[in-house]
Amino acid sequence: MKDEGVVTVALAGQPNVGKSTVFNLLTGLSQHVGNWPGKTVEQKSGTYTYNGTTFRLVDLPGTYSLTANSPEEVIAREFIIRERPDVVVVIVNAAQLERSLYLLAEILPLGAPVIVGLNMTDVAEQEGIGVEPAVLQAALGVPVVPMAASKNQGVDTLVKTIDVVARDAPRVCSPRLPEIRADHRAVLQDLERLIAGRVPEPYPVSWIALKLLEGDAEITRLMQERLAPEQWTQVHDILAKHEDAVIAVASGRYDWIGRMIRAALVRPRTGQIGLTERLDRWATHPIGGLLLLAGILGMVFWLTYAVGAPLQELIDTYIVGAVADWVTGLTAGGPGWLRGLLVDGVIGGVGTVITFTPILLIFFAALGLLEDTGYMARAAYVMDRFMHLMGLHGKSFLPLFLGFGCNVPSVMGTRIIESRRAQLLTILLIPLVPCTGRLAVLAFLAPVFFGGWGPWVSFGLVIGALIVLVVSGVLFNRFLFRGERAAFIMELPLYHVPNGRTIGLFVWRHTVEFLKKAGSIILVVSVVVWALSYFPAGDVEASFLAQIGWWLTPLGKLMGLDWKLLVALFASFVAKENSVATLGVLYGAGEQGEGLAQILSGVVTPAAGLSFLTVQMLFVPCVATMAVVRQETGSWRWMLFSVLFLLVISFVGGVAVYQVARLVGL
Amino acid sequence: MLEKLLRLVASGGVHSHAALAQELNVTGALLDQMIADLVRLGYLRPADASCPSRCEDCPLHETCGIGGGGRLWVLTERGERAARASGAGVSQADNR
Repeated sequence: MKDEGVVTVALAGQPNVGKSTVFNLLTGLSQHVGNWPGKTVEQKSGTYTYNGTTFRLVDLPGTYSLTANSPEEVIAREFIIRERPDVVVVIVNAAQLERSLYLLAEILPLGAPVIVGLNMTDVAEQEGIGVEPAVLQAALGVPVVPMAASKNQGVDTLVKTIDVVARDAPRVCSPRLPEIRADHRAVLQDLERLIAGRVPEPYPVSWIALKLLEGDAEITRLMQERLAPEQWTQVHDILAKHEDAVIAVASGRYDWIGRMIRAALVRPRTGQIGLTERLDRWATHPIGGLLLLAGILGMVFWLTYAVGAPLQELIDTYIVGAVADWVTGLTAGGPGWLRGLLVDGVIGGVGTVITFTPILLIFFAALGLLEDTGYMARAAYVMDRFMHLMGLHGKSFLPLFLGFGCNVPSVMGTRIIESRRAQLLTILLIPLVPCTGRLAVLAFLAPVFFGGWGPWVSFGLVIGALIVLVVSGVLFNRFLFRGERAAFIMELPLYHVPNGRTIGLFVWRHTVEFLKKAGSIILVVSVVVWALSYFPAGDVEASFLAQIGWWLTPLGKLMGLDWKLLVALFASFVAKENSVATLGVLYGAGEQGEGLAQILSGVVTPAAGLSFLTVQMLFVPCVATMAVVRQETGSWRWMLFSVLFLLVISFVGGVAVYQVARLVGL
Repeated sequence: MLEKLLRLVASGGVHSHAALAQELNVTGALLDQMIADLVRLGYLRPADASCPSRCEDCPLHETCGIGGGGRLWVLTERGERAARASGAGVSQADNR
């Protein structure tokens, strides 16, 4: 003790660890509040008496570390170094020990005798966190006093321990200090040799050398003034050569903290964090995660068919069919083209698309549920392994996943990708992600062509499209773009119980958007398609559209598609749902109460149906998507390349699937 | 420890917070602290720092929270250089 009868105790700690509570409990009314000399930072000090000795307690500003980033940090470390308190009590939060120990790792090397006040043990207990004080004490080499200062627990023991340490520090304090990473020890020693003899009292030489390596501005300035120019040049050269030494210094501290935590911390996995970790063992597993994702996709399709398809039939029969009959009756005495326009054009086209609504409701509900529970982040994380093959990482998976909803915002979302190469590659691949429009067409037509096998065929086609996406990405990455890598850390959010209202709003918003589209673009295209298929002679087989279709017949033959199916494909360029609306118009759905599904199942073979659906999955996306592709790439060239690429692979895919399907007898 | 974290991240791709904590044998809270330090030192940065628009204007705002609140950090050029340098340092130490 410097001054017989008065022991100086510094109270240090990070903000919100209960330091002020301890200070107030110990000093009571004998506090003095002022400012630190030359600073605007508040200084609190006080006294208490124990065992005949007066203890002067100085409350240091709460700081997370002892860098020179703030006046508070400079004040705290200058006090410990210059005033040389007899004891430094570092208050740590038992419920956030990892964070608290960083400050302790910086204080220990300053050489003052340290006691650790392990506060908030009650909070730690409530959170299921167990800290073993005796083990921590043995690991640290300094006394550890468990406390719950807000309940006035442990304070007496702290007072006793302060007294013991003040009287005989060398006996009770043998701190185990953090060390700089091994590969920088020689550099540290070189620096110490260079600055030894020029370090002002009472700064420790080793601490100054560490701070120089960390790039501490204050200490750098101090030593630059103290060293002769040629000495400073040598020091500066070493620092310039090891500009990342700060990592080596901090690493040493984290290694030390890690050892302390592993020794003394017991954290049972309970509650929401524990559940998330348990679920993620499967959801993020390299193989299990993919199987889970495939299973979930399969379940969504199954639900669509199990629930959506019967509802769709009901709407078709009792609403669309009924309206078609009523309109037919209303227009019985009128001109043929009027009946044709309303029944074949509007009802045949738009009405058929309206029957999609139950299917889309299920898709949107499933998508909303997966997002709201937090699962989508896991799906994105798992898919990243494939994206690695394509040279895409991190930010690319967000827009690609959004493509499952709609390709338009998906393409716009590529703006968040910094790398131009990665952005272009992502934009080229997005049209291969099946949007809800394509999925709805698939859900409608697959059971028409394949009956009970519809869900399996749909599932297979979606997986097939994604395989084509991955293969295309690998090839693009290899031949078109020089491979680059980006690296990310992703913190997956905790799983949480889905909110019905959030999902409901999500489904409502997207369904309304779909119905608006049905009432606008699809209505217009249906009327145009009807007109082209009616005029000039009122017979679809002799119409303008048929003539256009006949020109395409040679192409269609290879894929097993007649001109009506081809025209339907091209109509999907305006909106994917138009392909069904167009088929509805061309095949006269709504006439005589027959739905499109009934008609198609009688005229299109399974092989042709499979080919149609394959081409549909790989075809050029809607015009809105291509418009934003042009906008986001800033280039007609890339947009046209995208169109050409998709035309080629959809044609090749259709031909291959049709020929193989015929070979196997479909 | 920090250099091992940088090397793991620099190997490319997306790394989950939980998987990194397990690989480094540290708690999630300690990994949070390490990430915060690396951000402060300029070796990592929050991924949304480079977003061109406000969240409300972004077409991804429903998903970018990664299902509702996840965080994303990206390795900076300084971080990549440091990871490469420490990787070389590790191989030299292994070869000695």
